[in-house]
Amino acid sequence: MLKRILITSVLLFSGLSFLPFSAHAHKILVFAYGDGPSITGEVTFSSGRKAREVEITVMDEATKKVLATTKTNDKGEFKFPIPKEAVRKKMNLLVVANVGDGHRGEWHMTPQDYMDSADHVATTGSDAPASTELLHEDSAASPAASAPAPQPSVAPAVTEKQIEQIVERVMDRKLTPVKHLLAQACEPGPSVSDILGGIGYIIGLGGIVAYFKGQKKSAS
Amino acid sequence: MHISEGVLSAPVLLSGGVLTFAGTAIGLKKLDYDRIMSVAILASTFFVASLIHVPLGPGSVHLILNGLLGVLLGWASFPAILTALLLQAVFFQFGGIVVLGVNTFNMAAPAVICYYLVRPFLKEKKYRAVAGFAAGALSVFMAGIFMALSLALSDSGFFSTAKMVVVAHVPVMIIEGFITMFTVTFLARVKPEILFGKDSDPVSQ
Repeated sequence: MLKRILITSVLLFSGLSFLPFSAHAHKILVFAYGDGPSITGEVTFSSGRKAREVEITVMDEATKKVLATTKTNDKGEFKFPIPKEAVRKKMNLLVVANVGDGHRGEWHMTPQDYMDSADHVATTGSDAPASTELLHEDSAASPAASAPAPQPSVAPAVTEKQIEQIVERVMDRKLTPVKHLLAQACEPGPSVSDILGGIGYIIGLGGIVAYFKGQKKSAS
Repeated sequence: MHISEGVLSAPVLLSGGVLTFAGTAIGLKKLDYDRIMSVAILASTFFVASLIHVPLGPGSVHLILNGLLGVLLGWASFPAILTALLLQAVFFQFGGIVVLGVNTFNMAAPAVICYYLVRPFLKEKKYRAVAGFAAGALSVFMAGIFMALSLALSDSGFFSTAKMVVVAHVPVMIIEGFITMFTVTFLARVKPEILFGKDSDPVSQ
């Protein structure tokens, strides 16, 4: 009898594992960063799975005014242009992901997080000579490492703004995994000590209740 | 099953808190001295159960076990679940302190309902397994409905949310049905006084 039930349940579970359903985790993690003229980000469940088709709301942290809304794609990523109002007023942004089933995640963004990338799109580079000098210094300081590549003086077609954009783009690409790691490190899962501590608390509370009830019992 | 902070409206949070307070008060009042430790043990079971992720398909679901608590503890499920959820909120950031009342009610109320609905059937050996399964599955289902209700009262439409929550929890319902069934039949065999009180005779079960 027991064996039969076991076999049935094993079969049921293995059958279930092929069902496509959206499972729940405890919390969702939102992660966003400035990426040129837009803000890019990602939503994952704490189990590491990507959250698809999740509503993203961007609001001003102070007034809670909604500035933009979007949805995540199949990879759990989202992208939206930086709201002009936010750039103008240097707002602290709050990126909220709401799955609709009671799970909600937030990500805070200070103006520095997105302004840098928004700035160089909005303004035209006026201090070109200064930064060309900087580039010269750089290549002079490390001639062996970067012998053929940076020759800004013989390539006048490349403007300071373009270089800045290229560097920006490459840096973004290289730094994205690092940002991911940081975002994940900020939200560690429960550790063994947490779990054991919790069990200890509960048993201890039980002991306290038992103590007081026991006193009453012996008094009466 | 844990609703995050910042999703629910103030009236829902408040009424959840009041209901949980009332349930906890009843639970503590009804709790007799001899059962305190079994309440504590089941509270820690509940506390740990939601850390057990069962990988199914593309994602993973976690156990709730409120049906088991309900059948074994009755009204004492309220203080047990409240304590466990409080610690989960503090240690693991599941749910949150502000939504504690609503979350506790959503999971403890189905437990108490199951206690009244299912427990009478557990006494009879014939129905015990089925009743155990029903308690495990039903309590998860009802918790999903309560959760959808509290979300619906705050903003989003009830049926879409309810469908989403319940469908996602179908595997949990089945798993918990089996777990509750096995636990109940096992307890009836080895430690019937937990199920039927002190005076029951193990031989007659």
